Amino acid sequence: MKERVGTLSRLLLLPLALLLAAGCPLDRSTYVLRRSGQDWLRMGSDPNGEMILRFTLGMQEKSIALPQVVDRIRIERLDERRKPMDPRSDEGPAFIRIEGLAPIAGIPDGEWRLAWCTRH
Amino acid sequence: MGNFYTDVIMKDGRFQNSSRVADPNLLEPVTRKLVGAIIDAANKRGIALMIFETYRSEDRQLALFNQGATKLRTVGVHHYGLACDLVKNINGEPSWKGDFGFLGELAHENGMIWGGDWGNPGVAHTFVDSDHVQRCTLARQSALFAGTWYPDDSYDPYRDRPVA
Repeated sequence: MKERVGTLSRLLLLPLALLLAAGCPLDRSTYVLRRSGQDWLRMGSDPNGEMILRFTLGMQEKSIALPQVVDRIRIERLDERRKPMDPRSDEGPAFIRIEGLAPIAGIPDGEWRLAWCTRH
Repeated sequence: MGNFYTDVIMKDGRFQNSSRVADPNLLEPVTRKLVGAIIDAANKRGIALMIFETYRSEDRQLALFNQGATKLRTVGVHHYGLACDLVKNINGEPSWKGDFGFLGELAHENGMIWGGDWGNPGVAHTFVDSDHVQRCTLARQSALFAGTWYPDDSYDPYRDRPVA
């Protein structure tokens, strides 16, 4: 039963993610870690222009400047068909895959899915 | 009249180095002294820090831009020897684990702007760089990049009132 609910929610969430991916700016996009469903990621530039990965893991907030770790991790921005996107794009990708932050920052590896777009 | 950027950094062999540079000697002397004071103060709190990046060349900045790691294509404050990234030192390896709020206190005590609040604790920023310190306000950056301003030894970013 639990499995069916999980499958159903994934089926419902996928079209939502695809809809959201259409034109949401990166800095207004919020991603959820698919594996846990309760960890969150936002990505945007700080006032100095550096790209920041801002994680909310449970009750903990963690910000990491991408220039500092980009040579040590694997990070991919993927469109709704999981094709790689230009990393310089201001458009929020449908998925972000990150590997390698666990040993240096305690951030779990995995794929983050666009969960919502904050409109102003 | 020259300054540390024109007299030292521009003449250094690493000026066009495309790799990360962590040498404190490429920090402007007052900035270097303040960074040293921050490291010492953290050590007294039982937190070992290491300098992760000081100077950043135009080539490295462009490479980071092309990787989508920065929005600045040409230069940032690191290029002028006025910024430093400090991370935790765990058995000789850099670590971003845990809280870096202590760095904000130490930066402020030593007259450096902390990337966690950009010198303005009252203003909420969505995206912060919590292991970055710099001896330059955000308001001064455009003049710094344009080559029309460079801090002297007495410069204190917390007393800075730039003319509009």
